[in-house]
Amino acid sequence: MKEININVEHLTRVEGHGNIVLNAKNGKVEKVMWEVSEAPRLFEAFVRGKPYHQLAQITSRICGICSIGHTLASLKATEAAMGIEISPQSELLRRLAIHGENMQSHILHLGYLISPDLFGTGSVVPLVRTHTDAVLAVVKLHRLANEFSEVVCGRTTHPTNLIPGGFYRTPSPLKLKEYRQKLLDSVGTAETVAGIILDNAGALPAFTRETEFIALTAEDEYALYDGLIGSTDAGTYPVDEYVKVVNEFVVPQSTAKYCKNKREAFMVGALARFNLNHDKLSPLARKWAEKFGLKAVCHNPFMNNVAQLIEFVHSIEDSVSLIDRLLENYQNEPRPEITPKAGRGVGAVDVPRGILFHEYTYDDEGICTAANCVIPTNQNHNNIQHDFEAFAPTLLDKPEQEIELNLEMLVRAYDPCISCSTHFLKVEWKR
Amino acid sequence: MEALKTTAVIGIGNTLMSDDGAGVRVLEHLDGLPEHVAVVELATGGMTLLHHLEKYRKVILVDAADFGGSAGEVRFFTPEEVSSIKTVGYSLHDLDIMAVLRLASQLGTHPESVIIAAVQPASLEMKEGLSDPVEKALPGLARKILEHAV
Repeated sequence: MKEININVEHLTRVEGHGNIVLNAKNGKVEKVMWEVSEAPRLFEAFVRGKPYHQLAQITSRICGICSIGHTLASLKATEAAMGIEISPQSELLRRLAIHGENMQSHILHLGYLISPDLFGTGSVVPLVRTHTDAVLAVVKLHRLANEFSEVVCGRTTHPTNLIPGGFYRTPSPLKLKEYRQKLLDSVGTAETVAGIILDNAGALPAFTRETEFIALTAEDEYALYDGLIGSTDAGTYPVDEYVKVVNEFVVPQSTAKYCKNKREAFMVGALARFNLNHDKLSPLARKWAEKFGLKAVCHNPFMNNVAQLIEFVHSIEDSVSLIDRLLENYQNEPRPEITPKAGRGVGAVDVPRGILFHEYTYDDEGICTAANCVIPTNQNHNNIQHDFEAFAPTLLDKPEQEIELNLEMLVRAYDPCISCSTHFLKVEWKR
Repeated sequence: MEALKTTAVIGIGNTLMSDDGAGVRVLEHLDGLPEHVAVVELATGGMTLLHHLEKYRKVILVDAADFGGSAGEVRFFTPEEVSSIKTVGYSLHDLDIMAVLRLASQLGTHPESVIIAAVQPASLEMKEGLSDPVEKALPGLARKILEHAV
């Protein structure tokens, strides 16, 4: 029997650095491992001693892709700690902000990083020649999502408009109207892209491993900005109790912590949100879920890509209806005035890669004395490892290159943002 | 207003990697730009360069580039004149300008005219602030950009 030794150092088409190791002999897997080797980021230490109004600015730098999400989780944590209420208008605008980022991130992942797997090319570049219209459609949607984020947040990346208590500057009603129309006009383009992905979805392996899914969940909306922590295994938990849900622990092969709740691992992200909240999707998003045959609870991690696509459509439709609600009574609200006070608060939002938690403690002058950030990719590493252990043995008959590609595709399906997920820990190894 | 902008000066680079940030820092020196010229701080925006290219008829890309000159030396050239230009600083947002321009051509979104304004770096250390020769080159570089933008 053949011997298989796969060692992918620095997996491509993901953000950050992770390695894949597989050793198999005589048809048996001896070792299969998802390794995270990136240096810790230390953000939780950076923010200690910093005043409350700087925290979102600093922590948004954790990531260049989900910087809006980090900003929102950070603001919500600060607001929870100080008992700051925000206006209904600010809440609606923040929901637009999270849609903008979801659209940006999902189309980038699907259009540039996943499409090469679907078409069997190494990168998006060859597709420009063979599938010019599809690539143009992706570029158009990505540009719209970026511009929409800029309109709402002041900048596409590292937003400037979002501050504790609300908004530093709100988008003009004229701009909101303009982008409402642009979003409506983009539905056709989004459906074209969805159709192309559907035609090629056969390239996604039919692999399933039962696991727990965790995402924000709410009664009246497809939860992204707010809600309770929901689990497909265990109902709901208050956001404040997130530590009991994520249960972080340390493993030797990873500079990022691992997480688990009711089972050996759990998954977060678009598929988790779909599994928990699918009945609150917009009508067109539901239609596309049906076309893909995606039904809750789906345990195939590769379908996370499809769930992202469905969410993209949902974010377009829901943004249009949020803008309509905003424009019914759009006010030029004064900038919030904050009186800092001591307290501890947790903020949770569901960002492109899954549920994100920030927790801060402040003293009575509003200086941060403790911080904790639990990032979605962090929560997924353990599930990726367990998927590897179940998936690898089913692949051993294939040529080595194909095994490697399948394992790479599995990691990419999670859309990991590895740089974000590494955070430092003080540990004593138990071996 | 935006629709009237037909030319863009796009600054590329990472200001945390000393001279790699020259393309961004020079934007501060662009005084008295004509109405039709937009200034874009792309910085480490990577592939989003693609989104900017399609908006303008003429684009001037400013970046630190190793063309074998002396530190702070400035060169203006067109993409046709070189075989490859890769952003010299190393980061996750590393950008191959030529690849993006090729992509734009293939997609039919390439501007009518592209000029690359390059400055030879002295240092690419991980720190804020430019080296002396590059800092001193910025006003002259800005004047030349202005001449090309008009």
